[in-house]
Amino acid sequence: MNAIGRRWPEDANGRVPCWVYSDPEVYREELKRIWYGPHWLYCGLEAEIPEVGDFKTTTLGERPVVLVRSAAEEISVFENRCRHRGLKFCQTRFGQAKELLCPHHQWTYDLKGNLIRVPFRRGVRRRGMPADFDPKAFGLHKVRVEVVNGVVWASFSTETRPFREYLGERFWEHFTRIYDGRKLSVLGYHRQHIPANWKLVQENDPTGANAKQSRTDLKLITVFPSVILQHDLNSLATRQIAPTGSHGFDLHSTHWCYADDTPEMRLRRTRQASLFCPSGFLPADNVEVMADAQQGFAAAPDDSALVTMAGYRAIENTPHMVPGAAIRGMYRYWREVMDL
Amino acid sequence: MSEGPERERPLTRETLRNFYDDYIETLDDLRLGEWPDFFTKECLYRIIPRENHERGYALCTMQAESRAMLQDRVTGLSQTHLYAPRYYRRFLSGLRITGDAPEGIRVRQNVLIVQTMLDKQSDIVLCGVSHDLVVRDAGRLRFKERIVVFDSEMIPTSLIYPA
Repeated sequence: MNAIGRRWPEDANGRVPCWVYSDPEVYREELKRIWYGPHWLYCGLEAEIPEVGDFKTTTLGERPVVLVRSAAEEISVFENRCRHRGLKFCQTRFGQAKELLCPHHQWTYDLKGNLIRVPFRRGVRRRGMPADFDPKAFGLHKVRVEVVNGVVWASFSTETRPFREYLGERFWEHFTRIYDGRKLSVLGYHRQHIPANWKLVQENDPTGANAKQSRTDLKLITVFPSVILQHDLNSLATRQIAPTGSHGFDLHSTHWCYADDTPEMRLRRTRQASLFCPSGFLPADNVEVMADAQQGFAAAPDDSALVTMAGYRAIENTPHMVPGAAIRGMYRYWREVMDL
Repeated sequence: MSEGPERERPLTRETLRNFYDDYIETLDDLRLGEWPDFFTKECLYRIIPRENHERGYALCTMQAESRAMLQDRVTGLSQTHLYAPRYYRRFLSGLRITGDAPEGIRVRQNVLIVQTMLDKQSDIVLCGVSHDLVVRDAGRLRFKERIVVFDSEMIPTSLIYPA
């Protein structure tokens, strides 16, 4: 039992206690150990920032960041926080810039995050920054980056294993079958706020069991904790999670195609994307179910949910995703990381 | 509907407003079966986030390219879709006629949809502007195009019903 003061119920693999979805202390620990710990977080696609100077803002966990193409073959990720007074200085979603400027006092950083200009550094009538002020020590906080087949990953921890090792060989094979090194092209975005705990989207997405049709052509890879990589018929998307407390998260979906897709294929992918969007018949079910679930959990933190289907309590790889095994596997890992 | 013979009446703002009032009343009252009939057989219906529209992306939140596809959506909504019960109420304003050509009348209008979930305070589920092409078709007005571009990109959970 760790400092949170919660204890997992006796029937370890068969039940998930409801406080997991609602306890604010658990959530704070999750941010610390999971989101800001040795895990890779999805930032975006290289295709979103194709030219040098292109940038995109996003949120990793609860931390706003900026992704920049800082050189032809280099992507940099920084915390979106000026080193002067802590302003979230970049307030647009996308843009093009030669330098990154904070509008508050015009502190200016180059594309690699180095502080290159401090107006009035010597002050007005000499009362400027102290003599020992060293701009080199005030560059933007850099976040560790790994770009893999067009997908940009970032991590706040130096201990995170290289991405391929992190995924493991089985999921690496699934990942590289879709993200195979070909250039990608963005089809558009969907964004939703779901009033439910961020872990529910990872539990609910793989099931398909609440859909009235059975789906055999749906493939989803969850890269814990931040993203679900979707391959549904011909519709390809990344579904990124940004938690906002224990009772909500933002879901940012980026739909994409291969840059060399024919216009007909591009149109087909766009049409099929309608199944998996805020009005789509599949995720509308899922996100509605998540919101309903949170309403149930929030009121009864000491109750627990049953996850014994499909193999009762065993945790093993299964060729299908009817719930049970995947959820149990996720919580076995979660308990390890959370020391619960 | 007070239309008069197709060939003679110029399309007045009043007639247009009546058409839009009929449209939103049909949807507000959840007479979904009647919704597709407001569109021509081949049509374009889109609800699209502003960022996608402005960047030239075709990815829509809701899209139909024919009355039949609209009918599919109605079938889905009535028979297979799972969602918590709610009310939508639509408010249109700022009607402007932006074009008047043989192909039809181009209309721009603000759209606000207020959602009310049971035991919850009402909130805005969609706020945007529509760009429509309204035509005379078999004795009545219909949409040949209705494109709703919404500012409210961060959708509160889902967008269930049409705009």
